Amino acid sequence: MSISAILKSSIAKKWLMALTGLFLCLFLVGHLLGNLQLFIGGWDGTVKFNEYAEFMSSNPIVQTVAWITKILIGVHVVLALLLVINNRSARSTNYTYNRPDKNAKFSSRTMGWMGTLLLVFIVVHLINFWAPMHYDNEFPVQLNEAGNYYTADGIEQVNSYLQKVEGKQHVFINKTDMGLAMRDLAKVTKDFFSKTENGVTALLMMILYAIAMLAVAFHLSHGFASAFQSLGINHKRYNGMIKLAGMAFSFVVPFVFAAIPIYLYVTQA
Amino acid sequence: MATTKGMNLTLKIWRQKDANSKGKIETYRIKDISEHMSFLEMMDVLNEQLISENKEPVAFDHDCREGICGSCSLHINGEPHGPDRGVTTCQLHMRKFNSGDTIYIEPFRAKAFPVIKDLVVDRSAFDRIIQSGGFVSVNTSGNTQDANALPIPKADADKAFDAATCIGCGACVASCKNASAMLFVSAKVSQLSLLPQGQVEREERVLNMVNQMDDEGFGNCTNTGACEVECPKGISLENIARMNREFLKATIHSEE
Repeated sequence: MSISAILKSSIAKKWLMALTGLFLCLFLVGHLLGNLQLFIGGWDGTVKFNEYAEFMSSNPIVQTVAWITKILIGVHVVLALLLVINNRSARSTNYTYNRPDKNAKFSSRTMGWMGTLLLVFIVVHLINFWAPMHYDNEFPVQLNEAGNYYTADGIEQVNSYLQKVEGKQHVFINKTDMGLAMRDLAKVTKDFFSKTENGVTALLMMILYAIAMLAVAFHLSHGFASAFQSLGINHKRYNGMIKLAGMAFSFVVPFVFAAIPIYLYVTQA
Repeated sequence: MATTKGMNLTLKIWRQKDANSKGKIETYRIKDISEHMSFLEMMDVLNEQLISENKEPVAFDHDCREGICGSCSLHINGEPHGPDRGVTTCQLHMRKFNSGDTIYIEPFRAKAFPVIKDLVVDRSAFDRIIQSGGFVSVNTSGNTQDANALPIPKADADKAFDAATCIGCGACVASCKNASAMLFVSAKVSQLSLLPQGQVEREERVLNMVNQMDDEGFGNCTNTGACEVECPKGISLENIARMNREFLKATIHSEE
């Protein structure tokens, strides 16, 4: 069989979906472990997280992995689209009366929709955090204890936003206050949603982030174990373990991701 | 046997004159149906009623009426072979319904299963998949080999037999949100790849059958497991995983 014929087959597409999906699960673990540092309070925590952020965005190996991740998200999305188009055309006439709830779980029937939500979230999330870090000229920003930062020429700049929350210790990525991350998203995304008032945008952002974490939970609760099945790993000795690991992963990962901003908001706001 | 008053039902049935006509749901009322009847017997009663009214009877597939031939189909109240588990439509009893119920009866829906008339669909796509690789080569030039001369591990024989119970009815395709035929094809691939007799064409078989399956226009597998739930013969998803493995091995190793 030629390589192109293999790639055209439905099974090969599913392998690629499974492999890219499992890689993205690994990415989530890495991202989450990094974010756990935000639980460290005080000025030490601030400095540590800033150093970590700087390391992550300057280390060539990390950057290579980051680009691989972005490419694999693209592969996962494009394949999903191809599969959905193919699947839709496989049933040209729909049932008048159908009960898919009788034989399949909600999470398995909504992989496409949850995935679409996640894609929207990933784009917004990159605009919120990744884009300013990489394309804002004033980065890297290392804030001093007064909350001020230095430009490339070494001139101390007063961070105007920080004056509003003076006297409190915060963790910063660039000028974004992670402690008020959800509220602060309004600031970062001001241009993106320029016509919306900050308060409304912040609320919308919070809702989007909450929905996105729910979507991660649903997407993974089917996707994790499903990936193993697609790769042909189905054995009664390991099936229970895989299912359990999938359920635990799909609960713990989005829960801890969501817990971080809530923790910071509660302890610092 | 005490005879209670039969059931009165409203039937919403897909009527379609032929493959090229546009079909639609028609409503029929039927009275005094015994709970002991099979679903197909209820359909027979309806057809008697239609004939007596000088109307065209409803066309539907049926043959053995004992759940082994795979002829009967029907998507009943949103599920292939109706609400019962592990049975075909001919084995579905009217006691699973209540008097006053409305029952939707539609053909199995898939692009690869075009409607021929009313509730009858053309499932010859399955035949073409079997023709592409669902067979073993037999030597016809000597004495017939004693089947028991080939030792087969018990576990393999059991799994092969479980896969072989697939009657090819197409409920897996009908229930799948993607109209995928993976459960059917994987049952046939598994059955033969697990047995020594199936080794000769092992690689060729999985490549050709998957290729034919894709060509027929069936969808892809999302691992929702709907097929396994609706399969009247309880064919397991384990077979799909096995087919995925077989396909992987064959694509890497085969020089075809």
